[in-house]
Parts: sequence; structure tokens; C-alpha cells
Amino acid sequence: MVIVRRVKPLPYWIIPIIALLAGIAISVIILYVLMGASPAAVLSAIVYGFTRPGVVAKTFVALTIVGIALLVSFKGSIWNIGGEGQITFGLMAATWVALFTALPYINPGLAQVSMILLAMVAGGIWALLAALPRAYLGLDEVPVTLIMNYIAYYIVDILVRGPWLGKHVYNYIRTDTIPAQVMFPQVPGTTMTWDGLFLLIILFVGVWYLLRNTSIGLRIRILGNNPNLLRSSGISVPLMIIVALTISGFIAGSVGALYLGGDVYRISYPVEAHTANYGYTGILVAWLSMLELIAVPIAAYIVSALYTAGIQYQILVGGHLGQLLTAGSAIVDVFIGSILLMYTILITISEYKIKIIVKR
Amino acid sequence: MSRNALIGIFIIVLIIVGAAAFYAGTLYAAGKTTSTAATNTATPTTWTPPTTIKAAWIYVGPVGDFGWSYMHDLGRRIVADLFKDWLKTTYVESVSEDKLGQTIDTLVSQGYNVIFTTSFEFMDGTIAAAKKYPNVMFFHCSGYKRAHNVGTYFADLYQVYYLDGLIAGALTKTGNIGYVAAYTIPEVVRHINAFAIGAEEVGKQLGKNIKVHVIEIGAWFAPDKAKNAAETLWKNYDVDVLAYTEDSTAILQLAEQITKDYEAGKVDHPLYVFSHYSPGWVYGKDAVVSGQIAHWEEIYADILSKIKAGIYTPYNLEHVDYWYLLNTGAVDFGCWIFPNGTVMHINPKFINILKNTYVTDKLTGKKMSVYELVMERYRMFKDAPMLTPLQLTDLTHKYETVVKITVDNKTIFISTPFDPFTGPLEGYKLKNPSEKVTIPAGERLGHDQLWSIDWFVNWVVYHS
Repeated sequence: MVIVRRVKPLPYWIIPIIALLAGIAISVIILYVLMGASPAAVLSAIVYGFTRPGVVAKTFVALTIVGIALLVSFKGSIWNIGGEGQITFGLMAATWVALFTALPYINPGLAQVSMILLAMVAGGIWALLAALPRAYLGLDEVPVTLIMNYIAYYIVDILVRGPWLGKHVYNYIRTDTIPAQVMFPQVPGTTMTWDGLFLLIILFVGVWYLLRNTSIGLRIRILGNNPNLLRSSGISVPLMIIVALTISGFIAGSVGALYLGGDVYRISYPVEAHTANYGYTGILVAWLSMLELIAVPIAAYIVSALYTAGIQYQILVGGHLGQLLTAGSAIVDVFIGSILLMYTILITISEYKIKIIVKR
Repeated sequence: MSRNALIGIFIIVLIIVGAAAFYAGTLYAAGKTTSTAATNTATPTTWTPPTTIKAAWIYVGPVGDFGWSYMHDLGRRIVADLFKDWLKTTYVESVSEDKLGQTIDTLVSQGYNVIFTTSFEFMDGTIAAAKKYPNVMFFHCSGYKRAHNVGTYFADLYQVYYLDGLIAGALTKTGNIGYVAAYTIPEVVRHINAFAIGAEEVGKQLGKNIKVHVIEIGAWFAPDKAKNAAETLWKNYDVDVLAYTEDSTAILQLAEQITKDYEAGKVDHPLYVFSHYSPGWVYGKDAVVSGQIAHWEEIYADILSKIKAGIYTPYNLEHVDYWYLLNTGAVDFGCWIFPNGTVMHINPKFINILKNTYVTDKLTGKKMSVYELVMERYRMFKDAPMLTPLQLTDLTHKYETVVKITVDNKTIFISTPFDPFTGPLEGYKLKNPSEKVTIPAGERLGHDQLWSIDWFVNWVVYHS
């Protein structure tokens, strides 16, 4: 048995679609066989999830932005696993603006913009710290960015336990709630905020322009495909690595501000137990998009819809008397795990062929 | 270039159209609730309770934790069966703070009109959702923010921890008692203090130098951390009796192992333990002495029957604040519930020791066994019928410290004749141990002081 690289890979857009359908099919079977979950209930929950854009919206916005952020570095073959840390740093910066400056009381609009911008800067700095050893020491960025997530958590934990501990928190370990005027206004009928929607549009167009029409975008793409070409044309490869990872962290950081202004309104200790894990889920989104910018929102929508489907499934089955352990909250993990697994298998099949040669 | 620009414009238009479609779609989807909400923001003159109440529970953890969420869900299943003629229930588990909004949206879109959010973390999210859905009733467990359609409720265990403390003070040989705390938030600090006050009350009389060693593990559900902390307390601080706040059974199993080793002569001191939240005797029949049990169904039955009767409406919940203690039955003292419904208050293995240890009741001056003392105090806490109506609203909590009223020369007890949090007590602030706290003799701490307690009594030693 030998594995041969295909001369002509399968069309790339076909893979995520098959992965999605096959993943859902496999999930339905797994849930039925192992948990006795009714396929009808599971499927109706999925349909519900996909047809409620208003409910899905908030997760969709966050995951799309993280997906875009990771896409920038993934395009350059820089595997930024540190979205979570960059978001946490963004959360920290936005909290600082909201709680410890006078800005919210002077100009709430400007304060909201500053929260987002400073969150981006903080995310960018945190990514830059991971980019430097990668660029100049050749340290693999995957473990570095991953470990830095935890360092970011613990730095924020120290702040929340110490100097940032709230004064009106009934002795719970958390910061005060941010002033009402910097809580991001919601788009009526949806779970997302106006700030999030505008940010998404700006970032999407911005990254699209960056990757398509600027020399930096071109260089990042070349960095991903053939760094030697960059080197031979006299462009600093370490510099491009730094640029790609920093832009990635810069964009991811903004999600920290959205999380503060639209979701939690304060930081609770320990921050690692109160994160939405967008930084990790965003990796799935970036992969499902096949690193095509236009597909990122689609992938983000699919993943966020599956989360809503998980909630809906629990509501459908949760009420049965006497039944304690339903598939419950694990259903989302089953969906996402199956889809990612199918995706990984399919991506291999699309590029490689397995030939069986029988010896005579 | 022009082609690129065209594509760019196309994408922008696509996003804007998409956003508009989102907006339109959700307005349509949420149409019914939004329009009725708009007409009903003011207090309506009439309110008819829905014929079928659809109640949903939102849990922060998995219902299989056999601790906090499990006991809430047990409560849900009991009322669901009891009121099955007019009540439909469901639940959503392992909901993180950021998913609360969309979970509530999903529930409301399916007609759920009563929503219980059972984690402190859900407080602000519940208030925000309540503004969005003014016709839906919300009940938030363990918080302090209310609104016209948000009530709060809590069943507290401090009296039970005090009773456990009395027993701990009698059982310890080393005088070192342990406590593994999830977080040192007011709820847990209150329980640690009550436990320490009980232990000292008995231990001091028996000539023991009582110290309560506390390790904070920083998680509600962390079997490994809890086990390590308990082992550290046992090994490094000579702790032989332990209580804890954590949602797994890991500590019970560890204590059982150590106690068995002790009885086989392998180690020099045992580790006796008090089970937390759900009945834990089966996990350590040699080591579990007693424990705390929650019965959330007491509160859920009360709330739901009042909704059914039209007493609670989405417009009058701003003062509804349950603070239920032993007298209501929402909590109990024990470590097992037998199939016939009786509660094992104390593991029979330990009853003889407690019956043969004599102390003087500081209230009456009577000499009695620790067993009698514990049961006497338990009856006293249970037997306070006048307390219950005061425990239902935030306006009446302040009367809970009124011990008795004399009418026609007859003494009518309002609260329990005795409460563990009665001065003289001396302690120190958690955040600044050099800052002392003194409660003068005779002063009884009330709901508000206990709710935000931030100090330890002097014989509590905080280790991490």
C-alpha cells in the first residue's frame, strides 16, 4: 500500500461541505447509538440553530473576527494558537479604559472606540512577544503562543485579585461593572452589538484589502508558500513573520473589547474559567474556511449555529421526567469534534491517493 | 484594479444586505414577543397567570456533578412531577456566562415564561435579559440584583456547618480541623466561620486548642485539586476532621482511604469528613460523619405555586428574595437519606463517641452529651416557624435578628433563641489580616452582614 500525492487536488470548496454533512451524519449516529438521542430531535435542533440568525449573531461576530485574525497568520504558515491570550489581553486593555480612565464620563462614544482600539493594540503586543522568538530564534510559535495564553490569563488574574479588585462586589473576586454608557448597544432583535457589527465590517474589508491589494498582504502569502522566494528577493523573512503574527494578534485583541462591552461587563476571577474560548474555536473556523477570507463568515456561522443547536437540543430533551443524563451539553462537542475529524481525513484524501499494489 | 474595486464594493454590499437580513429575520422571529413586550412595559392592570407554566432551568455546570447543579436539577424534577398538570420544564446545562443571552433567547422563543438562572455569574446577564423580555419571570439564585420581573433566592447552609463544627470539635484529637474552600467568597467564608465557631464551642470545653486550616482551590468542580488540598491538610497540618465546599466526591473517597488505613494501624491519624451538598455517606461509610444536604424543591415549589396562583407576576418581583435556612426545610443536616425518607443526621459509627463526650450547654448551663447538644441545636434551628415569612423579601430580612417579642407577658419567639453568629466574636479581615473585627457581646449578625462577610474568626488559619 502506498500513498501518492494527487496530481490534481480535488476542488477545495468541496471539502468543508462534505466534512460538514458527514460530520453531522456521524454525530447523529454516535448520539443515537451511545446516548439514545432521537435523530429527529437532533436534526430539528440543527435546523433551529441554522435558522435563527438573531440568536446566533453574537457568537457569529466574535468567531468571524477571530477567524479573520487567525487567517492572516495562517496564510503566512504562522500557526497562531494564541488567539485566546490575545483576546484576554484585549479584554484587559478594554477594562482599563472602561474602569480606570475618565473617558467613559467625558465621551462615551470615544471611550467605546478607545476600548476597541486599545484592546487591539494590547492583542498586537502580546502576539508580537510571541513573534520575536519565532522570527529571530526560530522557536516554534505553536507552543509559544499556546503557553502565552496561560500567562495572559494569570496576569489578568493577578490584576483582578489585586489592584483591580472591585469596590462594589460584595467581596466576590471580580472587577467593578463597567459604566452603563460604555456597555455596547445591542442591535435590536439580535444578540450582537452595533460595535461588533461595525468592527466586523471594517475588519473584513480591511483584511480583504490588505491581503489582496497591498505588498504586505502579498508578502504574507508568499511567506506561507515559499519563504525562500522572499529571502531571495531581499525581503526580511523574520520581519514578515513579525508582521503577520502581530496583525493577527491586533485583530484578535478586539474580540476582548467586544466580550467586555457586549457580554460580561467586568472580569471575574479566575479569568480562565470565564472565557468563551473564542481563541480556540476560531482555529476551527479558520480551518473550515480553507483559508479563504470570503468563507470565514460562512464557517463562523456554521460553528455558531451548532452551538445554538446544542442549546436547543437540550431544551427539547431536557424536560423528560426521570431522565438524568441526556447527551446534554456534550452534544456541541460531538458535532464539532466529528466535523473537524472528517475535515482532517478529507483534506488528506483530497491531496493524497491511497493505492493498493498487489504483489504477484 | 477596477475589477478588484468592484469585488470590494460587492462584498461590502453583501455584508450590509446580510446584516439587514439578520435584522429583519430576527424581528420577524421575535415578532410576537417583541410586540407584546412593547405594549406591556408599564404595569398592567390585570394579569392572568398562564394556564401552562413553562419553566426552564439554566445550570452553570453539568447536572452529573452530584453537587450544586445536580441538586438543583433534582429539585426541578421533583416539582415537574408534582405539578405535572400545569407545569412543563426543561433545562440547559454547562452554560457559560457568554452563552447565557442566547440560551435565554432560545428559551423565550419557545414560550418558556419562567426562567431560573442558578449561578452567581449569571446575575448581570439575567438582569439584561429581563429588560429585553419584560413579560418573562426570572429567578436568579445567589445574587443580589432584582427587577420587577427578577426575583432572587438562596438556601444557606451556615447553621448546618455550625452543627457539623460542634461534632468536629468533639471528634478531633489533634485540635487541627481542615476546610477545603472553592473560593473565599462571602458564602464560603460564612460557612467556614460557622464551622469554626461550632468546633471551638465544643473543642474549647474539652481542653483542645482548635485551629481551622483553610486551603482555597479556586474552582467549584476540581476533584484533583480538592483531593490534593485535603491530603496536604491531613499530612502537613495534622488535620483529622475536614469539611469542604467543592462539587465532587473526591475528598470523601480520599478520607475513606485514609480512615481505613488508620483503622488498620498504617497511619497515625484518621481523616473524618462532612459530605457537601448531596448525601455522601455511601462514598465513605467509615469516614463520613455527617454533612449538608440541599432541598431546592422547597423553594421551587413555593415560587411556582405562587406564580400559578397569580401572586407572583412579572411586575412585582423586585422585593422577592428568598433566604432560606434550616427552619424551611430547604437545607438539612445529615449525610444520607434512606429510601423511606428519613435522614441519617450522624453516621451511626460516630454516635457512641458523641454520646459519651460531655460538655456544658452555654445557653442553659446544663451538662449534656455532644450528641444531645447537636440534636438540641438542630431542633432549635428547625423550630422557628415565625422566621419563614421574614425570609421571603429583601424588606423583611432585617427583622430576622429579632429574637422574641413579649405579648401579654408571653414570650413569642421570632427567630431561633440561639444563632452561631452572635457576639462576642473576634476576627480579622481576609484582605488585610492586621485589621481586626470585633462583634460585641449579645449582637447577632443579620442577613446583610452575613451576606457580605469578609472576615475570619481568629482561630481560622488561611494557607493559600
